[in-house]
Amino acid sequence: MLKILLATAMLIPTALLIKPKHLFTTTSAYAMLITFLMLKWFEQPLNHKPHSTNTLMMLDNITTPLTTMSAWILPLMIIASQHHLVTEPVNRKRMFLATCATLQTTLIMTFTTTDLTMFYIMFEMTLVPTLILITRWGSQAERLNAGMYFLFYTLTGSLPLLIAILHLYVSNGHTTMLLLAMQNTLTPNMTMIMWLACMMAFMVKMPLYGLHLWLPKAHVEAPIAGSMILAAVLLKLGGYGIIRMIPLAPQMTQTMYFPFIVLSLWGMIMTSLICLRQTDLKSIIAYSSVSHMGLVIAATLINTPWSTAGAMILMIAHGLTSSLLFCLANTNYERTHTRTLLLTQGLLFILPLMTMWWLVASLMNMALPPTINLLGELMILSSLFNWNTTTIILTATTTLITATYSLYIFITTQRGTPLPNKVLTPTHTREHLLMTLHLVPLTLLITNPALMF
Amino acid sequence: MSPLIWSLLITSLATSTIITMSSHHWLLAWVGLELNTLSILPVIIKSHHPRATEAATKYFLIQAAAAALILLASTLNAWQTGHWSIMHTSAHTTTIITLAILLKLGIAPMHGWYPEVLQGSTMNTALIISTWQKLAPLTLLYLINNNPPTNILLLMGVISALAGGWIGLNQTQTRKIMAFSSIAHMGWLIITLNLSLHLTTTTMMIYMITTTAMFMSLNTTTTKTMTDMGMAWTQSPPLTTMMMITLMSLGGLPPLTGFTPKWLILNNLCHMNLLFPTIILAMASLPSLFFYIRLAYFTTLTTPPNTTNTHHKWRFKPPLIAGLTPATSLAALLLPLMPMMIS
Amino acid sequence: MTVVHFTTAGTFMLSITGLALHRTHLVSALLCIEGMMLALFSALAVSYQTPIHTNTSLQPIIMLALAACGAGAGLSLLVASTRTHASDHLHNLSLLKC
Repeated sequence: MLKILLATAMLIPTALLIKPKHLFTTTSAYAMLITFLMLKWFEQPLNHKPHSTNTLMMLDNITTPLTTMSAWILPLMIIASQHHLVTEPVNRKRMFLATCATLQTTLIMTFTTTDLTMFYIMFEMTLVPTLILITRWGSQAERLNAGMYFLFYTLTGSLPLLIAILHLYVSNGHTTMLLLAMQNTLTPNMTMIMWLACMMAFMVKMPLYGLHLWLPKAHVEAPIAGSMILAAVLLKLGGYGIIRMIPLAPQMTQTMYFPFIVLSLWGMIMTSLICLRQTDLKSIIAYSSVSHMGLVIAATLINTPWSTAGAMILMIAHGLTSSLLFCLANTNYERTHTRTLLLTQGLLFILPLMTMWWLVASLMNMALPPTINLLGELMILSSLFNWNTTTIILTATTTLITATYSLYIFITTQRGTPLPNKVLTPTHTREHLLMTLHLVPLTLLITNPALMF
Repeated sequence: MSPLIWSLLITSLATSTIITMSSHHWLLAWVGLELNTLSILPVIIKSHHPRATEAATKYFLIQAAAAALILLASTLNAWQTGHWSIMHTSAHTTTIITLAILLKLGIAPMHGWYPEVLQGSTMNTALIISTWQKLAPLTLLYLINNNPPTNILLLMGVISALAGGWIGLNQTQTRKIMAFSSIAHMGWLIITLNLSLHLTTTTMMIYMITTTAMFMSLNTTTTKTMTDMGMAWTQSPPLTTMMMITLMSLGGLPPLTGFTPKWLILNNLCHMNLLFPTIILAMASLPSLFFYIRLAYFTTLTTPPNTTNTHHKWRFKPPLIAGLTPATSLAALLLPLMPMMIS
Repeated sequence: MTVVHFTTAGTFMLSITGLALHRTHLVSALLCIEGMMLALFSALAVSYQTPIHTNTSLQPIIMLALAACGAGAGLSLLVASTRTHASDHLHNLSLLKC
């Protein structure tokens, strides 16, 4: 555990001290190396759950895939941001990379800690670097507003969580997640308010429909690295938190989950429909995140083995897919300097190879058969169907609309006639490498989906 | 001002606080408070400016009246009980004295003078007023803690935390913002008097560290309004980064130092089953955080190449104070040392 | 409560009420503070002095000395604020409202 954590933490001084010539290559190679080291976590010969623990941290089959994905995203963030940072002086590049590395360190600690208080502190600690990423390296004036939304939605949601955790500490004398789940001392006297306090932070982070307004703003205003990490990992913190919190109060969940499942399923349809009438490319991808996360919320709340496994698979799949989509949107943005769909038509004729990536990404987003997106959605859909048959109306409709808007993105960006007065530079190898690195885990994971749950 | 007088003032400022701290007799405590007021007045009024005069006048009126009220209450106590010891103050007297001390500290319903005095004095004097001058009244609150008026302290603390954050939203002058931040922190502080005195010490220390770091940074960059703050990066870019971290620490974002007192206070309140004040206090930290984040936006997050909305100012490049580095790093990174501090 | 107690406490209360409510002139505020101090002085001087225990006899003097210092500081502030604000009206002290 420490060998990964220290190595990741040492990325910060590396980014600050290395020679400018080797700055990007070294940091991305280093980060990738950490990810490869992390793959060893998947080997769990004794199949214990958690399969490695110490007094502060643990790894189990929920932690490992999410942590590895967040580590995988870091080098991709560095690769994706190079064009964005090319005009900056070298000190600012260093600060940017140091911020990303700090975020990565805190994310690993958030996912691996066993203690709820520590989890809370680390959960909040991810806010500061993300806020800096959004508001410092975003490009428009609205980013300040977006940063405020991001910070205050999350904090207002999570302050009740802090009080709930302190309450647990007072009544039990410890806040270790595994022990709390085993003892289950809370359940009889655990009130509705406690359950709400525990869950609301993650519902906001997820985000649940109705509490999601910060997300499109943050995504639209964030630079590419911020969008990638936000879509890929930070939203998954919410799913991770729900999965961790539910064993603390299984009975109360059985009575409390109805409004949330209803909201999430209804929100899936609403946000998918919103996607169909957006003009902003990044905004569509952001709303599609909200829609997919609705499935994850419903699946984690009904908390059957199948649904949790499906939620895990969908979180991994969506993390990589939406990050890929943001990268693609960013390649367009770097060339055309606009996110408006109407102004970026006809890219098929200009960047033909990029069209292939767009096609694959759209197919992934609508969950075409050989992808893990499909596997996750299928598992969630069937477990939801088993929970209540009528949910199939909502989930199937959503699948339909998801396919529609994925194709809509593809067709509006790639087909049509390009605007005549644009000079667009051809694609770089760096960008193709970026897309490939997103797609390799997505396509290969279908050969062994058991890695993810 | 001649160095001799200046050193005399600073010495008596320090000594008077120590007199109050070490006193056992109410009259001596009053003498300490009075000397304290008298020695800070020339420091405030030193910059011969109408604002400084006004600030000194307001400070004098409030402090003299509050000190007289403390002396009256202790005289009444002596009538009732027959002795002047601070430790043995009866319950009614404690209530009056607590109210007078809260007036001296600038707790919310009696906070009107505080932002104006800070606004009228220089940055260094404001630093003294908002840190060192709090010590003497707070020590008296420590000493009469054998039967504290719990309800008053809790109520005033919650009101102060709420009002400090709420009114601070409306300010554009950095010293006034710091004043309201100080009011909010004082609200958290006096709540700890109900919980445990160790916690009060910790909270006070951390408040002093973060406030000192912030005032020193503001002083170094000569930042008086929010628009000045937008140009602080031209003087020292690393300093503005540290200012941003310090601001977030003041706002109590984990894992910075400012989260320590909030965490411990909320934990202690949970221990006492005071769920309602806990929730209100936790939520009261959000408006304060809003204006800290707004200041943080001005320090680093909107610097070029992004478009800035401030004009360039003609300024000398000030020397960086040596104490700035330890102050800002303490203001950022003390949380892991917390177990050592509270035990 | 004896007459002495009543008189001194009453004087103090009247003075502090005057300080709080009567807000026209700075000099009247200072006079109210002086009234409070004098009430405290007479309380200390009258009700604690016994021929037997003389160790409290210095108390009123110490108090009066510091109250005089405070009064001096107040009067100098009065002069300073009259010079800068043109009169001693309390509502003139509004530079720092902003």
